Amino acid sequence: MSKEYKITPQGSLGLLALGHVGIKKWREVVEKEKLKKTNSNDDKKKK
Amino acid sequence: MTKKRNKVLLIGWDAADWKVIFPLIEQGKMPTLSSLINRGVYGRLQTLDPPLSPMLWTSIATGMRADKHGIGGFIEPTPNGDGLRPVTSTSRKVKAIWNILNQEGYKSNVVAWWPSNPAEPINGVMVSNLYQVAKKSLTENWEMPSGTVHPESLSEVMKEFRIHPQEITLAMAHPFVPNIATDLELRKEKRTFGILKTIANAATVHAASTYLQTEHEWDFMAVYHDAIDHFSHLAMRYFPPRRPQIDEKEFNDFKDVVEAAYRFHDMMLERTLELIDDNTTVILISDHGFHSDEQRPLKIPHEPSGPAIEHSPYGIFVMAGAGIRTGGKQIAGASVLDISPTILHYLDLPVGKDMDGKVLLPCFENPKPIKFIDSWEQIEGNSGMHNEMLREDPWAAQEALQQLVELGYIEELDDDKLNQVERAKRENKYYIARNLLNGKKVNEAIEMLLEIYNESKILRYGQRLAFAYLSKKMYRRCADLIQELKQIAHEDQVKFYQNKLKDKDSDVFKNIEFEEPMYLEFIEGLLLLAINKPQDALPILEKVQQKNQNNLQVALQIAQILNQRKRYSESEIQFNKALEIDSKSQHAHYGLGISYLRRGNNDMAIEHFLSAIDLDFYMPNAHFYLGQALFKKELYEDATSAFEVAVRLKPGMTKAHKWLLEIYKTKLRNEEKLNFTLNFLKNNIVGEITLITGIDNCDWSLVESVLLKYKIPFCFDALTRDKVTNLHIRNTFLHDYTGKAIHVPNHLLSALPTNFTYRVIYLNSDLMNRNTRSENQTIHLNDLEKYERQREKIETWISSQAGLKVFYSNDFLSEIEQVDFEEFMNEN
Repeated sequence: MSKEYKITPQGSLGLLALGHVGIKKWREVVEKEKLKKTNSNDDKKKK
Repeated sequence: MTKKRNKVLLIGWDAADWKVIFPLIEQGKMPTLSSLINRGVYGRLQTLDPPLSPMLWTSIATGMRADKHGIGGFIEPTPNGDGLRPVTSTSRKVKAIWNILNQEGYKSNVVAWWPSNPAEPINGVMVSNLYQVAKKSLTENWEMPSGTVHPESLSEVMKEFRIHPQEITLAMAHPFVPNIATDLELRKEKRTFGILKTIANAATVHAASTYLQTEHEWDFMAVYHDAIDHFSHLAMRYFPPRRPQIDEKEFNDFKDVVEAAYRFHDMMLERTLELIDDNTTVILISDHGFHSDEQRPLKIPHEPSGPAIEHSPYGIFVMAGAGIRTGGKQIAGASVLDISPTILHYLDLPVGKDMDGKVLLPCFENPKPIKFIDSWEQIEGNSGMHNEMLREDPWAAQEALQQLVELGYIEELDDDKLNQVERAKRENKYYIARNLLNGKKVNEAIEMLLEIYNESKILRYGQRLAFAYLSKKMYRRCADLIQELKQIAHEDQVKFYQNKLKDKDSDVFKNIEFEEPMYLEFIEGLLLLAINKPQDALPILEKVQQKNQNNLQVALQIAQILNQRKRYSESEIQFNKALEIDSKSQHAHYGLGISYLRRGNNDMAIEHFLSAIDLDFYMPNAHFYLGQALFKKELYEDATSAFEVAVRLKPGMTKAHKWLLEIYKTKLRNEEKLNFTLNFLKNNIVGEITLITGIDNCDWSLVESVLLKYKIPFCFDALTRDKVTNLHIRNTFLHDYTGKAIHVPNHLLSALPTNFTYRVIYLNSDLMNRNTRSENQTIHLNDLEKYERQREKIETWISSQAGLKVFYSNDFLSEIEQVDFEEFMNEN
């Protein structure tokens, strides 16, 4: 891929148009975001 | 180094339509498709009737019509016969292109073709049309139905590329429904959910395809996207401009859906094309178009496959790659049946003679001769089709099951379900019968329609049957059936309005019962036209037009009648109306050409014949009349080319040969061609008939005595007169009259077949004949007008005949003694 894409958890149509690679990368970002949120909630609970 | 084998990537965009695409290309909104067109060729792709996608995509994949490939509609009975299921790949009776390629050693990847479940065991990968379907919520386990992926071992990997409708984010949906972020109510709407689901389905099919494109080697790849069709059924009614009947809020909410759908497909196409190499030829097609303008119906018929009324008859076709012409040249006359033959030819493989389509040779830079075999069905080898046990005619299987029920071998099926299966079975036959009619296999269509009509007395079936009778010139049966159907239509209407009164919440888009308003009257109009009663047909068709302002066929029929009736300025209006409905109607251009030709405006005639030919080269009559217009302009060489093309397209076109004879003999003096044409005419002209025309009545025995001097018997008995009266219906009787003379009234001259030569004796009307008019008799204005019209009619016919021998007579009895009449009668 010659172009660079910024992938956000919200995704975009452009990302879907990239096909399987786009979906895979986007799901990774969504997972990371979920994990981040879970960790942050856990931290809040600990405090 | 060995030469790389050519590869083919076939992409299907269901329902894509140039009428939507071209404006978007002009605005720079579909850059990838625009560039693909410029790198290759493009054109309209003629659909088949009925325009139902499973049938059409199977015709695309096989090059055959439904009677051969076996896929009629959307559903089929379940194997146990007690219910219905979506149509499956096992019901296809013939090899698809990937099966042919399979046995020729090619590797194929096929994604989501309709129908392709269960996936076939081909050399390569097949992902079926059930792959993207999500029936349950995201929180539930999203299983893939069995048979979705071949080879099965790829199922786990392929599962990961599916995107669920609930995963579609507001950012992804925003280009389709811009208000979705702010309007919570809008998010709950069924239509909005349909849009999200379609985005997810399109992305899923695309992801599977990019994965297989890059990770699984292939020679042929076929990817089918149904999303444009789904987006269009969901929201084409909101596509700008807004029609007054469309709710303003709904319009604002959904007006962007269609444009976003096409732009999304252009983005996906960009990615797909990034992933192919230089020796891959790309073919992008749609199976039918989708009305996006004033032809959009406001109402959807409340009947099976009713939404197909929104489909338009032309899909899209683009082909680009090695060996294909470049520069974006338009290709005319392509049909969905031509795709498989064209791919086979491109890959240097023979085309099956049993295929209904043709090779699109104009696409090729250096067209080579087409190789043929009788049928790919007889060629042995591993085609990758399902084994015989799995492949069965589901309708036949259901019947067999019913037989077992009757014999008591299995339990009685539930009555409602059985009725449902029976109804679906009839409907399937109806689609195949329509497809047969569309393919001019009228006898088979009649047989099928008669069976289902007699079983059900359903109006739609009867209407098509009446149309089939009409096509076969079975006018009596057609007329009787129309009367019967009028009664059924009346009863249906009463029932419909009674139900409508009960159902106050009926949807505005589902409030008509009939396939096409006044279709029955349309057939009646055509029948009257066929039995030479255009004066009766015209008011009926005009009434039909009032209800079907945007119906191309109705406008064309009215225009043709007006042409026949020599009402050329009115026919011009109607043909132009047809062009407003479809600016690419070759028939409207052709009709306008005739209208101008008859009025002597040869320049305009030439312009319109050329437009018709540009849109559809395979119109022998357009070339023929172009030849006539050019002849009249004394452009003999151009006229010769036009007539020569006409006879190349239709070798038996005697009338064109007659004109060529005239040109070679008198204008261009080409001995070789003259001899060839003479030879052709010698072998194809049945004989010569002497025609007496111009007057409808006189003392025929006098004419008889004159002709007998030249040994020509004049037949004016009641039986002959009766046969001549029906000349426009049946003309085979003329074979019995070669070497004889008959009286043919003016209005029937145009019905004379071209495989005879005619010697015409034109006796001027009694009206103007001083010898037959008494002293005190005056001529009324009306009579004069009638006389003028008759004279015009015969002169039009005479001027349209090449090398016709005509003797004009104002006073037959005194002129028969003259030398020129004798010369006329003795001329060879």
